[in-house]
Amino acid sequence: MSEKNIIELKNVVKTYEQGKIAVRALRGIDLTIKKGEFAAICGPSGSGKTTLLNIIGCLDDATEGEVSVDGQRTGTLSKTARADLRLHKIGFVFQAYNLVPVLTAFENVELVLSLQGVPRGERTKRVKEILEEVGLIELSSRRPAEMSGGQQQRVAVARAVVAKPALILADEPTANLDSVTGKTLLEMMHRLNREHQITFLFSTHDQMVMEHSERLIHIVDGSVAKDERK
Amino acid sequence: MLLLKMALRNLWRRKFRTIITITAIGVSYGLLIFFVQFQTGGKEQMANTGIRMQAGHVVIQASGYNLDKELDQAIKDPGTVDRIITETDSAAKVAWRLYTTGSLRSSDGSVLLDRLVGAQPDRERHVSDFPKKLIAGTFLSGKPDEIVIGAAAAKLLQAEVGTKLQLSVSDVNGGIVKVSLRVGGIYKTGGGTVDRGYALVNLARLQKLLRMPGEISQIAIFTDLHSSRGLAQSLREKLKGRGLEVLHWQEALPTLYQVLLVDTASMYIFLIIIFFIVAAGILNSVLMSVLERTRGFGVLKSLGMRPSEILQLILSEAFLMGLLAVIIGLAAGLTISYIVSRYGIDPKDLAGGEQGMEAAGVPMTEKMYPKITAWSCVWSSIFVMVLTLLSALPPSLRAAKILPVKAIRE
Repeated sequence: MSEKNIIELKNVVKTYEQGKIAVRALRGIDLTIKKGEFAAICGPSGSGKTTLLNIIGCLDDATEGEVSVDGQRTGTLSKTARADLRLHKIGFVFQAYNLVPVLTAFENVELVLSLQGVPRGERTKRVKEILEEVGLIELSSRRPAEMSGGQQQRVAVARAVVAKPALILADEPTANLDSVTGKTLLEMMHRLNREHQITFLFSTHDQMVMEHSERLIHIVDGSVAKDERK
Repeated sequence: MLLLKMALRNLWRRKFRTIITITAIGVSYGLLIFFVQFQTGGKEQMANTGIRMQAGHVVIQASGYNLDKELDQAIKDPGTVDRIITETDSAAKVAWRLYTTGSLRSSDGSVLLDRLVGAQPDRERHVSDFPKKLIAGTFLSGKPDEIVIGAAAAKLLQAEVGTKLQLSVSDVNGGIVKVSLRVGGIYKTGGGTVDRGYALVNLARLQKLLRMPGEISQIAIFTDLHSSRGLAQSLREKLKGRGLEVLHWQEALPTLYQVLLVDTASMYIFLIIIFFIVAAGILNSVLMSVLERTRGFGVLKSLGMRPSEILQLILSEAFLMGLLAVIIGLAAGLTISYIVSRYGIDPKDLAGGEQGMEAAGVPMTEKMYPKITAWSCVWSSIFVMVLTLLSALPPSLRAAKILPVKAIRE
């Protein structure tokens, strides 16, 4: 594997059992994503893009094929090793924000660093820096229920970025946001991509996300139909 | 630290359910504390009453002596044994007793005596409950022809202090001996068996009647419940080869001891029920909480939280609930115990009548008090905490094993 490849997929197949019928969600995906890319997997609903993102993020297993993230083969890893890989190398941004409701914005961002065992002083410094960067330092002590959707998604991005992972996987991050908020969020993520050299991989069918992405991987019926770089 | 903060806030987020669960467990646990302490106090009181009225903490008698029946199996040289007892435990109180059966007759009726006790007035006064239970007259004063009888016997005989009664007993050779005695005192324990069938006379007088000069049936030793077993063992070794047997009160009063064991067993059944309530409460609360937060656990896992940390988070919530419930339970239980220990509970109220309760011939007529011990609080608290964590374990494991992709979809 090349040093520059952060994601490498070889003939990845995913089959779901639905009763007695086997449904093939992914039909032999070959894909590489290089470090620092700002790419999007796009396609219609049910095309397999979220499944692909989940497999890359070690949230789900491939039925066949090989998946490597930052040089590490994920198929054979134990649950704990996968958790460690997610903790140290992958950040997630979800469509529904998925912040921890009982924690404040500050604590939500701090959580990942706390799980990593980063000392309190350094945690505080880094959380403040990233909240400043996403423009939410004034809302540090607010809980998710006290913030708008856009603000929550910015906290989610801050949470994903704060540990400086190699890769951020964002599943339809703008789907629940209005166009202005979505655009602002995308610009922010693009800036973080450039400044911190963090690879971003989106799963989307939002035109705006596709416009902002530097590479579009079109998935149709579980296969890569087109891979275009801008 | 953040995990603990999350656990606390998760509990507070579902405060209504948390409060109900904690209160239910706390109240159950509080009742348990009170019940255990009240039962412990009641059992000790019952054991002590039985010991004071019918035996001693330790008794010494001729080997194979069957109480009240075999007069010829007596302690021939009680003075020597007495000396050995004093050498072994100088603080122990000792009373010599000669037991037999007989009958009392007055001009108006007769009563069979299940137990006629020849007692040493000076010593008996310090160890027995009978002097405290007198309702008329005096306890044995040393006069040779006096007898102390129970209130029920007095009623049957229509006797009062000073009434002359005829006592009939069999002497050691089987001969019938009849003698006139005057009622010196009347006691009332509240126990039907004792108040009707027990009577006390001077030891020297009974020895003379039974033709057993200097001989006694039993030496009763009074120390305390907890050190009595050790004393019995020491005396057993020292009196070996003298044709005597040394019995701990549990052996000397087997029926009473069995009653207390049954009582203890009933307490354990009650404890199991309480613990079942605690376990079901915790299990229900934690399971509901886990099922509601499946998606949340998926998110935490996707962020990199390990299965063991998820387990830790949920067990922390259960631990905090258990801890609060134990604090509430201890406060409630100890408060009830303290109040009851000040005022006591009258067994007559529990029995629902004028008479008190009676078990194994031991009257329970005095107010019962709980025995507050640190140990009962410690073991029950630890048990509730362990039970809480064990009950929370199955739902916690379920959450720890959850697949993040499935959880996030929910």
